[in-house]
Amino acid sequence: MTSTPAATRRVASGPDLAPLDAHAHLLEPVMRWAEQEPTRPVAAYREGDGFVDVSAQAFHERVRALAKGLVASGVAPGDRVALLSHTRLEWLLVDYAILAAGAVTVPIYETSSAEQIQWILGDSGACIAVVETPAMRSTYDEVHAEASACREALVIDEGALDELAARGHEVDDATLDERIAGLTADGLATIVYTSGTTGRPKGCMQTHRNLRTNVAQNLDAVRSMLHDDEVTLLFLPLAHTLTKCIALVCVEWGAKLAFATDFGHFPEELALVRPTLLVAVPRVFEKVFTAAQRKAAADGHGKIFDRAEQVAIRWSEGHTAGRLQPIISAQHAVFGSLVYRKLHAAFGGRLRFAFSGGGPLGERLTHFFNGIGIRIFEGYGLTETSPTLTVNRADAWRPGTVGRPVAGTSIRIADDGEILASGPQVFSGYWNAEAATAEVLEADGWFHTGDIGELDADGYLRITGRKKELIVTAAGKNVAPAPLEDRLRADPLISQAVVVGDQRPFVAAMLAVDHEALREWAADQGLDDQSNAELLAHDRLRERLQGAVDEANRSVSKAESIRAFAILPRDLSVESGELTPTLKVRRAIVVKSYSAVVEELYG
Amino acid sequence: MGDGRRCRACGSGDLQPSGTPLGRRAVCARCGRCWEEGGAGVEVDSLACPGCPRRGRCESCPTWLVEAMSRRDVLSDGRPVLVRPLLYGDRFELAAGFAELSPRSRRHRFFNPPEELDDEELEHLTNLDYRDHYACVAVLEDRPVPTGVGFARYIREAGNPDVAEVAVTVADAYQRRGIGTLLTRTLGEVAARNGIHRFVNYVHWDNAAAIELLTDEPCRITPAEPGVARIEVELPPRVAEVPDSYLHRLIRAHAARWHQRPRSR
Repeated sequence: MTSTPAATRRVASGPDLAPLDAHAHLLEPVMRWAEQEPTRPVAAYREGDGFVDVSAQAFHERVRALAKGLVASGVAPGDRVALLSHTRLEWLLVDYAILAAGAVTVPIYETSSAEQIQWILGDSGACIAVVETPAMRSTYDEVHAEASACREALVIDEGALDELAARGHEVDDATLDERIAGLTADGLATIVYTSGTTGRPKGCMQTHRNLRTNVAQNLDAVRSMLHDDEVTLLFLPLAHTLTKCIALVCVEWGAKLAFATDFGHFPEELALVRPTLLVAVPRVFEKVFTAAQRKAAADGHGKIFDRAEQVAIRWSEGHTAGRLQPIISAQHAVFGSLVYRKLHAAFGGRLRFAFSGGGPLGERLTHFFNGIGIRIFEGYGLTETSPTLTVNRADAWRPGTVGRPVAGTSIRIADDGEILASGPQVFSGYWNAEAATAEVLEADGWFHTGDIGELDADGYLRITGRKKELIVTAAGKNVAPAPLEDRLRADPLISQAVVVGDQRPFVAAMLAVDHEALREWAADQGLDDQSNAELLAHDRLRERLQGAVDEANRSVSKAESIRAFAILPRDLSVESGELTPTLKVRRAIVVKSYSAVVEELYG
Repeated sequence: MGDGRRCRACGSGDLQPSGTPLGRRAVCARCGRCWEEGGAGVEVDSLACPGCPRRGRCESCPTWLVEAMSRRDVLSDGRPVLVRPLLYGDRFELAAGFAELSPRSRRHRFFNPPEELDDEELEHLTNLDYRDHYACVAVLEDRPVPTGVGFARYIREAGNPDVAEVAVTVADAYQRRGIGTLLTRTLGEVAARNGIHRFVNYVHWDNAAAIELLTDEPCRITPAEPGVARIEVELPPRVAEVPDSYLHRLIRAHAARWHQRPRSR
């Protein structure tokens, strides 16, 4: 097979990485901080009008108490424990406790549908589930009969942690120390379920080595920028590997992890916590930028803002290239106090850098934020790679790319353009799915990412396409459109369904209606006298189609569900290019030819 | 037609004059099956028909043209297969073949597949001119009823006469036996003769069989939208230089004439 060389390099490798000790594990940093600096604040949670710090010692003690509770509850080394909760202090405590007990954490997104929860509990064979709310408990009750291995569900909001701690009293320290001593680098730490393009979610097995190594690799990229007293505000789901990894980076470094209560309180809590580093998806940066832009325009400062934006970008570009023009520097200094400081204030005023992942962040936006003093480190990786494979480093930063391979990691571009990766952070396989593992993991350790990319001459990776038929929303959620579309088309009224949402805030659908079925439906409804055009605009049709959308949504989590839909005035056609001459649907062209409809969906 | 003839498949008397000059002449309006025998045939002028002794007017076997454009081959499992042009009358077979495809194969063929192929789609897929839109079918002849197990077509791009888009489908039970290769090779030869220099294929990256088939030749792969690869294959120029054969001129002449005739649908 030959293909036109699209890249200047086929292989790039990161610097060498010292291998981990065979007995290294994820608890080590928690234990180290408790011993070396017991009073260091390592976490913080919201209480009333402020945040309350948790010391390294208190954190460690709570983890141990919970771990004993799990041991008392019959959790044996290697057992799986499901954790269904949104991001909060208890999430991390329970996660560490599960690891300390020698068991494996199976995180489940709090937005998962009942079907997904049932599948993950059953497939992982989890023996205990820790769930956040009574509502989640009732979902668990609905589905757990199918997951017979699961003995009980403990509800965080109903005192699950106190209950576990109480149970743990009967377990002595030596028993727990033995469990911790039994941990190995290659022992399984967590199984993270990811949705593929078809079929059920698959469980990615991540070992202590995978995660601990990736923490070191990420730390390495930003170490030169780190201070002793970093603070972060966590708000993304910890069930997402990137969030989890950056949380682990913070624990390793001894940075304070403040937990946001929910997204609605995020702006307020940014001001309270004043984080110095963040992990976020591109959408967050876009939102902050557009909000500031809109506000400036509303105040009649639109022109100043635009100019400030230009200057920030040119300053960053010049700075990165090492050729800064004095005039830009001067303007940059002026806008610094006029405009940039206000934007900085939106993040609390102390933010210096952020990790971004889950989707592409625009090159201009990256330069803009750098221009105002917030360095964004965009990287690339997958759940299967724990996750970071490449990242822009403090000293090797190239916006528009996802950086160079991290230490100990090699990236290879296959003949068909696919990005292959090997390194100590690459997972060992999917849980209970050898065939699926063999599809992505070669015997010699090369992992097939399913993404397409190019390496530039300096070894920076650029993502250019995706082999998997997946939509990645702006929030970084992977959504397989095909199963949703299949479910939608199962409705006789729907002739074509196209699910959209790539780099958009949520998933939406465009539906073409079968005209024959529409007439029949109209007759049923006593709407014979209406024209097709009138019917397409009819509220009852919308209602009817909403039913089909709701039905399709039953299979997916809230984050993956179709939140809006539009009814197309006509079928997709070859003439418009929406279908290829041989009648294959071109999703990208459909989105383009109905761009007005799409914009309306995302109004 | 109203002359008392009935569809052999369902008994309906509503037979529509239809089909290409290459094929059958009546299609049952009710079940879509071809009505094949007897009656007044298509004018084929004074051309010789190798299929029957008559000259000037071929009543029952205009299939001779098809014969001439067909090739027989052997699959990797040793079974004989016939590759012949797709005919208007094959629409029933095409619809049935689609209905039997697995969801996965349907998705690979249409990306966003309908529940079933409707009349409009079938018309689009069987109303061929054999120059800008050519399709062929692989038929297993060693079965009691010869069965079409693979379909392939190219359609010339509207704004780009050198380029044609290709789609290939093989019935699930017959995949990985060389049928795709056989069909694509046939398409390539016909296309080259018709002045097409490049084939464009849109295929799912997870359609390993298609990717293998297409990337066997020198090709250019670029990512289209997520999940989809665009694979361009240059057709060998030496085939393109082969002068137009008598047979192809003949077929096109008939196709052109047939298209000028009034249509019932």
